[in-house]
Amino acid sequence: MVKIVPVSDEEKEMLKTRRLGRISWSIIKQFEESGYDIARVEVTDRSPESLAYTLRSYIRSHNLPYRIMVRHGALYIQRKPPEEEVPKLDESVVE
Amino acid sequence: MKVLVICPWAFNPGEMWPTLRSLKAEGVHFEVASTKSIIEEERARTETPRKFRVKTLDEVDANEFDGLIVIGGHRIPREKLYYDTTVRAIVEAFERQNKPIAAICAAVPVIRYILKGRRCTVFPYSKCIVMLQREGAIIEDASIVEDGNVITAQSESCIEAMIERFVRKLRGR
Repeated sequence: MVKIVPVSDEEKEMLKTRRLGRISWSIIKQFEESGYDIARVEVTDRSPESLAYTLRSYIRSHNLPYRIMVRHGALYIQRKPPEEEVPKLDESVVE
Repeated sequence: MKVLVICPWAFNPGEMWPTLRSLKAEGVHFEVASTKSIIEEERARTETPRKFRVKTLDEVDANEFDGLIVIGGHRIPREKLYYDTTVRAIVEAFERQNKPIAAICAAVPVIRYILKGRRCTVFPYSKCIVMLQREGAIIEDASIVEDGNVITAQSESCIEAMIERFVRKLRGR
């Protein structure tokens, strides 16, 4: 049996707070605040590949300008260079 | 003379480039507008789609232009154009001012609101045919159909001929 019940104001306020993520958000926030272009993420409790997968999913879903890579068993996080200038579609583009 | 070209954000290069090339050859200026500010070539048609910056539909003022051309593209963004209220307002504004309006291939249903009781042609997709019939359009199996200020082309193979007629109408105003 399903029942529809009204939501209290306190509950509504609780719904507004967004879950930031326990692992990915803290790593990305640290990197953002560091100001580095590229940094190595030192992992101890899990494999770099596993953390890379988690971070990539987070970056993709939040559309963040970072890149994650695993090289020689180490995990790196890098800032993406700004996107190339997209040309305006006008008469100069048409051959 | 300036023409507004409306396209889906993933446009059909087979329709876009011949249209713009023909307009340029005729000495007609154009401005492209879409639902998004960055548009790209339809992926199924080109391996490496090029991206371009265009006006969004909200930025368009129909009074600035002398004619309207609607072209097609990938199914999903094209169908967004079918139901876009801004596009409808733009099409109706051009129609009120009796300015030439052209649509190609599967983009013809975008202008369906002004086709009641008028002759037109469309690429034979059943969905397009049903949409046009619902609005009371008279569909003809011809490559180009002209009815008043509206010109429709059945496929991209007749774009050059359609643009020629369109420009003739523009100059005749």
